[in-house]
Amino acid sequence: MIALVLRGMGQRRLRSALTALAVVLGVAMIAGTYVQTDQIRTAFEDIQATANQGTDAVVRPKKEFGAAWAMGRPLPESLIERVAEVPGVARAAGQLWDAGSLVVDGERIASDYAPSTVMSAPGAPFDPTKPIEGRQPAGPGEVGVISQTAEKEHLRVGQRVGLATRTGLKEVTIVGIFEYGDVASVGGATLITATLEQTQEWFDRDGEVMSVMAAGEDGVSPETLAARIRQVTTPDLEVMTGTADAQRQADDINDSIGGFLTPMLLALAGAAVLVGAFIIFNTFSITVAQRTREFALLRALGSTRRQIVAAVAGEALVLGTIASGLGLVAGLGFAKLLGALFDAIGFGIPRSAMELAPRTIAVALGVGIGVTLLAALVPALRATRVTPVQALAGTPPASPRARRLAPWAAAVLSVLGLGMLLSGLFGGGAATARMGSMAGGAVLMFVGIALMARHIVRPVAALAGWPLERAFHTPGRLARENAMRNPGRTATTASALMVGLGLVVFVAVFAAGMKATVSDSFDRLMASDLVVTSQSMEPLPNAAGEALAGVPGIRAVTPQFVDQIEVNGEPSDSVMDIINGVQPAQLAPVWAFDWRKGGSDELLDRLTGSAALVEEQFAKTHGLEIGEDFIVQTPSGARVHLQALGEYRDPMLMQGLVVEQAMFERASALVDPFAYYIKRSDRTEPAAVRRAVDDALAPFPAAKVQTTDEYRDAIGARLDQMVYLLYALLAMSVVISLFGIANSLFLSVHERTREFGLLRAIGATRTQVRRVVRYESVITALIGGLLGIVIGLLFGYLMTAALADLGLTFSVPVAQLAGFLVLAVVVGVLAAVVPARRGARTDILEALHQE
Amino acid sequence: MAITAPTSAAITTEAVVRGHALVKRYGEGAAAVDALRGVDVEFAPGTFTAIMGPSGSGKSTLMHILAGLDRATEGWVEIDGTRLDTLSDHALTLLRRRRVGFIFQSYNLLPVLNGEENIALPLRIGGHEPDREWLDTLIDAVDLRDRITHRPAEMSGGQQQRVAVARALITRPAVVFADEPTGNLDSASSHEVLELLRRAVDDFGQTIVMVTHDATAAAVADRLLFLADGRIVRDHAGMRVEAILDLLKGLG
Repeated sequence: MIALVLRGMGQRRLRSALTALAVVLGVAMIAGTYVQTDQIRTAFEDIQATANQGTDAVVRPKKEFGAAWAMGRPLPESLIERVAEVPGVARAAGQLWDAGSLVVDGERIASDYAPSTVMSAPGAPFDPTKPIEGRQPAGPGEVGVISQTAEKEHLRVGQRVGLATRTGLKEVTIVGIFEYGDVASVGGATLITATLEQTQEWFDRDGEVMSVMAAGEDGVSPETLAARIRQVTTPDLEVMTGTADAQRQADDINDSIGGFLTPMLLALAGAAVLVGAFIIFNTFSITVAQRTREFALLRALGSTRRQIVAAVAGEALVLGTIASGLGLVAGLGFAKLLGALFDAIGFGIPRSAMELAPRTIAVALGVGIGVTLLAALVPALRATRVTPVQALAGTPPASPRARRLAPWAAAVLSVLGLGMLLSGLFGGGAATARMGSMAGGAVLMFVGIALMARHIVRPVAALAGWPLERAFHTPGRLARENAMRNPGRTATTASALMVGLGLVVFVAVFAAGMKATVSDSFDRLMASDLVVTSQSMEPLPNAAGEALAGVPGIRAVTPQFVDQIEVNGEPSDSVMDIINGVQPAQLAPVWAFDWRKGGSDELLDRLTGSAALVEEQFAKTHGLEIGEDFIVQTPSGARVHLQALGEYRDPMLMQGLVVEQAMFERASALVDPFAYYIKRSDRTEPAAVRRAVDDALAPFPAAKVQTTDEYRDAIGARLDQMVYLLYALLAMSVVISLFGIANSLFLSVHERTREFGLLRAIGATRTQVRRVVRYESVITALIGGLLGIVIGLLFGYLMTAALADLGLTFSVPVAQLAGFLVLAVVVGVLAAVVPARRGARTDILEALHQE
Repeated sequence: MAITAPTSAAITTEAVVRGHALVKRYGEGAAAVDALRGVDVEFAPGTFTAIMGPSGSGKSTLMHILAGLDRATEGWVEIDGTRLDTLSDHALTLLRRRRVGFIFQSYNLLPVLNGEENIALPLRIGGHEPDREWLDTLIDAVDLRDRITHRPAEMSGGQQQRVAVARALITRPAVVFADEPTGNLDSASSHEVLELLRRAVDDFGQTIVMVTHDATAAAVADRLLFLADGRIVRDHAGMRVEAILDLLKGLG
């Protein structure tokens, strides 16, 4: 039987290869995702382990909650002394770091994504840096630079360069070029070292450090050392062993990146696998139908039903195994591609060498083989439901029971899917459970709609075929008729495209709604002329605000400080639970509040002390009435009592609550604002004011000045970038469905050899025969495209409705949808290239004498 | 209705199809097999010729070459004054579309088109609409007025073959080639189709070349060509069934 299976596959080489390709690509995406995220994880673990090499114990401010970027309060420098006196501590040192970048010949050196950090060199044995040229910085105005940056920017020891710090631009001398641990680069980050005193001065942190490290005497274990240090520190500090701290730091970073990256990539890989499953199902359905006679003969010769099922399942198993193996290898290539893609859109992350973890191999092979077997199961069972006599007599009728049940199954699946989707979107529960419910619901809906699609093949083919028939007469007509000939097959083939295109449309619709909403919020709420934000990941120094205060022609300027909060001890929602710090007296001219509950700009005069303006959604979630007291805590652990003064609506730009700057500083450890908003005086020239602002901010190269419109467009552009990344990843699903269409066309061409032969005999040119195949493909693709657009719009609508609290509005990007239909046509044309050529090459005499 | 063959072939100097010194060789060298070994043949307009011969005599090969479906190894074919051997594949396709009609043993209708659409197919492939009057004439001639909007799957074999006959005539081709047109039909249906072909010649002046091994079918023709071993061994005016059977026996 095995020999029979293998021989059969060998004879259907092209078909097997195309089907395998669908599996290969899906599996490659899964494997590639794991490989890539493993690379990122290992890279961070290596970096952290290197950084902590000489450290036995670390003291850090405790972070109460919040993301990796959330910051605790700095430690007093005096803590170093206290730790050094702990018995068993051989050496103790403090370290301070902050964002700062080099300025060479007036140009700021920093990549858009990797951070540029100034850190104090803590000295042996803690220092992870090793000078390969020059020495460690030892005095004022001296810095060391990591070798990759030095090499790239042609920096030399002894060179004088600028350094952008929180207190402005400083002139410094490079005294050393170093490696970090053993590596020349830490994920592309720019690292600059200086003495602790110098770092404190530049970053306005006199007497403060961010961590204290301790090295133990011989014979004292890190655990013992950590325990002893814990006894001399307050509970708002955290003491960990060096190893545990390194792991924790790496985990924090990985969670913040991988926490969203891995599920997103796996979801997209899942979509590709689903597309692959449609194609496998279709191919096996068609080949099994074509081989019904062969199976009947085997049955007549005494094969049991089980043997026939085993033969088909065996073919699926062989195919699935080979394809999954190839997919695993291709996954390494896909991981590389992902890396390049991330770099290309400026989302660069450090990566270590590639590794194939056992988990990667297990999941990739399991999914690949499992999906292939599952998709081949139904056709396999169907193959045996035919009695030998029926089969030998000709094409047997489809099982009436299956035909009766199919619409019900489709409806049940769709409704169930919709239910799961809705419960995921609107229901409560843990985020992972809700995401799982949404993903499962989406898959069920895709399958359900694919099953129902056979009923819309006819009308849609008639609709899509009409212009083709007008343009190409008989070939168009025949293409349309051929597409309608086997609605089930056309539906499944089209459904494969529907999945990829549906997700593309969903992303487009969601992004369009997001952009429209953000853009609308900007236009309604932001009355400022200029916005100052930070370029890249560096904070905007607070000192920049002081520089702005003196600029002539400015009527009002206010910073916006932002930190995460917990309200009344309830778990924090990272989108909504936000505290904003502003200068209330300056706010009215730059911010047009959408007041609720009778509020007005007069409230800003009373925004002092513990008074807080609360956002509508925020107030609703936490049940806050005006005049009510509540408690807010930031990740630093600081707690403040606030009272709701008034209510406004702004779920997009200023979520949560607004307090005056002084209160923000009490509540948060963050010292740098997120942005400055500037309104110029009425009688000034916009360009002149902008020039003056640019000049005033010259010492702060990280500060980026934009008009409000430019800022809005830049936010939109960043959103677009994310959308393009998703498109690029979804392209894989579309490509797989292209192979699926090609595969199904090959089978159709094969079945219609005789008809093509006749057409050629009575005078159809090769071009015309090609057209018949090509436009059947285009019609199939259009059906997939239309289905995809409908389901994508539905998903987009539901998602928007679920996020209506955020002010998200549903908006249909008509031009883009038209573009996607064109894309579907292109997919159809491309898929038909080779099958159409084969159809046109039909040998007339052979075709006409084929039985 | 009895089918009677005219006793004399139409004599004319203007041949509509000409085959000159046709040789068809399959394979090369020692393994080469000659299916045709030098055939010269002409068909006058408005004549009905039957080509007969035992299996492997080359009669199908000859017809395929004459019809421009296959190319001769040596010699040339001329249809309506055009030499086929100099034509490109595209030009040959257009010539088949405009000047040649085909009828096959297995009907070869397109299952997705109804009767009328199948009839009009050769014209529509060329982007032309059929002349309504001529289409009606043909539909009546093949007696399919009430079945014309049905698809082939809903027709009997005889009805399908009558559609195929009308399809072959719709372009008013220079010649219709019929390959065993009654091979798949019962005797009643065969009879109808043959009568139809006869009337196409008599009423419309159509030239028909038919390959058949059925003496009853051949008896409808004005002229009989007998092939054996790739050569024409007899070229005879129309004969009665009995005479044909006798002749075949003699050749066998």
